[in-house]
Amino acid sequence: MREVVVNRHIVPDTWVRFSPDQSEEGGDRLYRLEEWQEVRAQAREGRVGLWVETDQDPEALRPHLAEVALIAIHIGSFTDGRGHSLGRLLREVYGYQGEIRAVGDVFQDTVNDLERCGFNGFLPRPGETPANLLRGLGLFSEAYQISVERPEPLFRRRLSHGSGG
Amino acid sequence: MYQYDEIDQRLVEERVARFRDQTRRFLAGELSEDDFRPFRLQNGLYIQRHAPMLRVAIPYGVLSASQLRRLAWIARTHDRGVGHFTTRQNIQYNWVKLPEVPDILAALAEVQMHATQTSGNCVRNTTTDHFAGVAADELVDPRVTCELIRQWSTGHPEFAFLPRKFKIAVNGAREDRAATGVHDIGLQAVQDAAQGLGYRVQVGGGLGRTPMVGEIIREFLPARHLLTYLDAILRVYNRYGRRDNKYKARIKILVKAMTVERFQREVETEWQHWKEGPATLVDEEVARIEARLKKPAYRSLPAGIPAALAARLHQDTDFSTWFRQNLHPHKVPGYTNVTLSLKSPDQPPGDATADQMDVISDWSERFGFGEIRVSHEQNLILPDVALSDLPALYDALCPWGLATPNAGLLTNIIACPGGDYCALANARSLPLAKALQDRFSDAVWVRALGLLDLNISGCMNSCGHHHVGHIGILGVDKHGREYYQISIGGAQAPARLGKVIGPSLTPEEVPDALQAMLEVYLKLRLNPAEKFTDTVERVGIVPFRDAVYAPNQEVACA
Repeated sequence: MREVVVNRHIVPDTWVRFSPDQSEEGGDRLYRLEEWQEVRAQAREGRVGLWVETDQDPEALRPHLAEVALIAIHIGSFTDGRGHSLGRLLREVYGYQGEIRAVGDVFQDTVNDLERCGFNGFLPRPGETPANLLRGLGLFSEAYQISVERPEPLFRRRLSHGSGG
Repeated sequence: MYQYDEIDQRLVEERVARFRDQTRRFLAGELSEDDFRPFRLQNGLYIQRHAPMLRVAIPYGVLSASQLRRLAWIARTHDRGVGHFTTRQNIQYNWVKLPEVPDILAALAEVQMHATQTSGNCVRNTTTDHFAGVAADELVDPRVTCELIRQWSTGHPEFAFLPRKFKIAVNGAREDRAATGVHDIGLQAVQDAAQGLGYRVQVGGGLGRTPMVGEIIREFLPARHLLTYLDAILRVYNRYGRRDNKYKARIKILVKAMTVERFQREVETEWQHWKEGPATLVDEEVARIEARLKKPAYRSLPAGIPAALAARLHQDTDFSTWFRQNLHPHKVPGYTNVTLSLKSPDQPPGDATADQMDVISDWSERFGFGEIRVSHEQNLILPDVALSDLPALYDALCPWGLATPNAGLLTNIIACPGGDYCALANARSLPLAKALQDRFSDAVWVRALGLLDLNISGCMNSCGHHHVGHIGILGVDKHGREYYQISIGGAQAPARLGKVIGPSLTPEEVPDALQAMLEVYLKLRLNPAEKFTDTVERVGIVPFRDAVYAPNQEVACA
């Protein structure tokens, strides 16, 4: 089974993309939003995840946020920064608590920013390893801005630690 | 300049360590060219015509003496002894070697400098008035705002891969010397009697292929909301800006496509989620940054012209010409701001040698408080010079070719590096600038023309800001030959875009064309105070066009 990084640990990837001709048994299944809307009434075993693109409107996901354990955001090219905004909106505006996983063009040099934007799962692209992804995380000991990682800006920490002036 | 604390210092060092690792992996073949490119760009490194070019950030154009000395050292050690100051108040080195770049960045970090986000599709170095904090017409010192934006934008995790580059300018004076109308975001500080400091927010200005003047989306944004509001604008742009065509990817295209009203609504809606949240500014942070911007200990000086200065002005015409042309009023009595022109006839516009940078650093300590400014007109400025020191400073400048009395004049040519260095350019800028310097070598005649911005860009990317030049020259390529398109009537502030006068010209024709237009101007202007661009605005481009394309036709006097 291929491996992914979740919460800075290397774990087996249990998620499988849904396919309509597949028999519906247990296991963690990833659906496109339209697919899920079609089958959600049918009872099944296993966890549900959504597979979305970076231009996904988070408002359309709102009704499903409580029922899905994972949102996989497909990043076609790492220079497409829309997924970063989507991650932050899902966490900070919509309060989504499940896993947000980056899939697609994901490698050592891209994961640090994604993690700060609320992603906690990373599927390495072909040729990249989970161990390399771990090396790319947590590169900076501080950050100026607010983000999912640090909900307060540096200037508020400076105030409380009295390091100003 | 803002003095780093230990956290600022650690962050810039961690950034160097990361880039050192990325460079090592690239050189070892572990990181492909395509994957490395965006990261090297975000650390200021372009691959150019001859060698990689490194663009170092000079946040809001403010340097200390020790920083300028370090820039000189880099020019000497890692380049060919020259640096090029840009229209965005940065410095570029055209001959660096990629394996040495991490060491250059480490050397910069030692003096609290970096090359972070000077390129790439991210928030770039914020620019402002080069007389920030010292100008007599200032409402608010914009450097605090700029530093807040520098920190907010540095390593912003959400906005490292925007549809396109993003430039913010801040102005705090009555006169807009930051060209806020032609930036992705232009902030004009406003002091409101009831609400205190705030900003007028303009969005969607820019030059390049599709020049536009920005639209005001908020007349007054209270200062404490600065960062949450910027986040909201950038988020709307990041999510909805076009990514399918890089020529339509700037925020100006999005604002036009959405209409400014809808764009504004989107921003306001987005902002509601973050407004009054933790990123809302607190007075203590503003005070902390103010305290870290080293303020000079001005002496109490008499306001008038000291007797020795008056005598020199009386005796020495060259000195008095320079005095009239290259000084800018200071807010403190007895002091002035001096422009050191990097536009001598023998130097490519904006270039300074390592030796020049070193002596300028020395003068900044001897005649000022150890601070130097970079102007977007590609000159260096010594702020805080006592009027009584001007004769000594002038005598020091002359042998170094830094006393050319042309600040604001035709020969203060603003030009990008052009085809001699830049891989994007369609035509060269520097030989044309030199030809124009040679043609307009009569300083008396040039002064008679009054204030006149002449801007040259080697391609549509408009690094020479030709659209807002009173006279703008754009290099174009026609069947492998260099041609130049001329536009007139542009202005930086209030921003106005120049109009193209006709078919583009060969390099040999350009000096004649300018000469013809300038003669028309001298005939048509109402009085010497009417600038070239204002005459164009009043009478239109036709008389100028006719002078260029029908040279035998006489122009009637107005």
